[in-house]
Amino acid sequence: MSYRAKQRVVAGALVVLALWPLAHVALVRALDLNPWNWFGWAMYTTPPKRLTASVVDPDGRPLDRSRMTPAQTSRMLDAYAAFSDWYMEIPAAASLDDFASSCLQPFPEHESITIHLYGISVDRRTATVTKQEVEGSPWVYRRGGGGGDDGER
Amino acid sequence: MGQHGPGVLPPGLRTLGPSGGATNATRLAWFRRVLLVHVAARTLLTEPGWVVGEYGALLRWATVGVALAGVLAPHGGALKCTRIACPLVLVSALSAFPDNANHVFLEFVLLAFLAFLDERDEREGVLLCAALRGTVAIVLVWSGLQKVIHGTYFDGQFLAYMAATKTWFTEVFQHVVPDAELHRLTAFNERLDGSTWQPAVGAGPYRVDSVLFVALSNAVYVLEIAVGLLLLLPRTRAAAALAGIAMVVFIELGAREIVFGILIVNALALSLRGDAPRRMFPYWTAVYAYLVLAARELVPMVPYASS
Repeated sequence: MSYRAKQRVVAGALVVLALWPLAHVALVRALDLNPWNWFGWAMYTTPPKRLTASVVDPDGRPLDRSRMTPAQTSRMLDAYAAFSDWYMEIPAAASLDDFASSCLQPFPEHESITIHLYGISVDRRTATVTKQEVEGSPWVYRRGGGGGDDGER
Repeated sequence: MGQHGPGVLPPGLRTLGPSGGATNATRLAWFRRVLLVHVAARTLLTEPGWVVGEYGALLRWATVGVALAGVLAPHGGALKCTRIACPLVLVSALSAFPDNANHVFLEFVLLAFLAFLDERDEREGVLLCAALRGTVAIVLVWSGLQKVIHGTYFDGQFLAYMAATKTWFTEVFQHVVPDAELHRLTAFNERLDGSTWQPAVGAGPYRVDSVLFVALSNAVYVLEIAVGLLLLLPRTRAAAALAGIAMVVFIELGAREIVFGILIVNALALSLRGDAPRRMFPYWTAVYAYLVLAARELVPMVPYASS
């Protein structure tokens, strides 16, 4: 490769590095990505978000976790951790299926469960911790049928 | 501007060139070694991603082996090792998807430039120096701009939240935040583990009634942007690099991301006069060796680096 070509490659790479954070800002806003990652140099810009879930039976009662075996509890927690890891980075790419399935399996008497998801974050305007149900929540999951918004799957 | 002739650097990068060819080659060769030590240590300190089992172990140990071979090899070998380590680091970074840390990306970019250009060629050395300096400047400027865009530093909200919920930030800011204010903020917390508290819903506001604290909060992004921009100018570059190193050290008192801290300090050292990378190489190697040994519980971990 000629020196001139190497110059162009280096200059091009630096231009991409310099402009990518603009795309990062847009993507974080549009897709609710975690600003700390994705190479936009926005670490330490916002307090870390948290996610919490509430799982209820068809009558709206919380599932009785005391009926779950340690193995079932462990599977559910693992599935939730995996979902949460993805959701905190790319909400649109996170699937609740494994978590929902692990919640339903110990309760054969229920045909479905409903999962409410809440994001907990510091509101920029008021600087207080707020809890808000996330967009698309709640999800209803039917046995053997997967899930969907408002449970019509 | 440096002593390199016309046309060695493209127009946008001309202020970033080095001042001496031989010194530049030596400085870059030692920076290459520092970065390869960093790659080896960071690989050993990072949890493997989805490339697990035999393939994961192979990837990790191949990366570590190639990086360390590059440190010990004469220059031609170091360049070849850099060229092999670069895709290994990329695969390892991709395997952590979607949780990709920015410092691994920075490491990859610096490594990619070092794999692409050979500092033994005087012109390429000049271009390489400009590329590495330009990368550091971009990172610092954007790091500051992102804090402005997200708007959580103007009233000190972000740092107040961190001071209330992270032990290391509390330790730093207890000297700046009035006792009553710190007590008010930490009173919202529910302890989760040894170093983390979880604030209750409704907690806040995370604002601190202290002019000094708010000034410090605003100084963070002002300094990041200023240092990044001043690194672009030959006349202010060395002073900016020193200020940048001091700033990183201060930030690391709270953030405690020592691997990222060492990486950015070394990258900033490329803008100092003399051959800081060579002089600092033994010390950084010792720090990395200690961190790896401590992570494996072969030596006690100092409280600072316990995360």
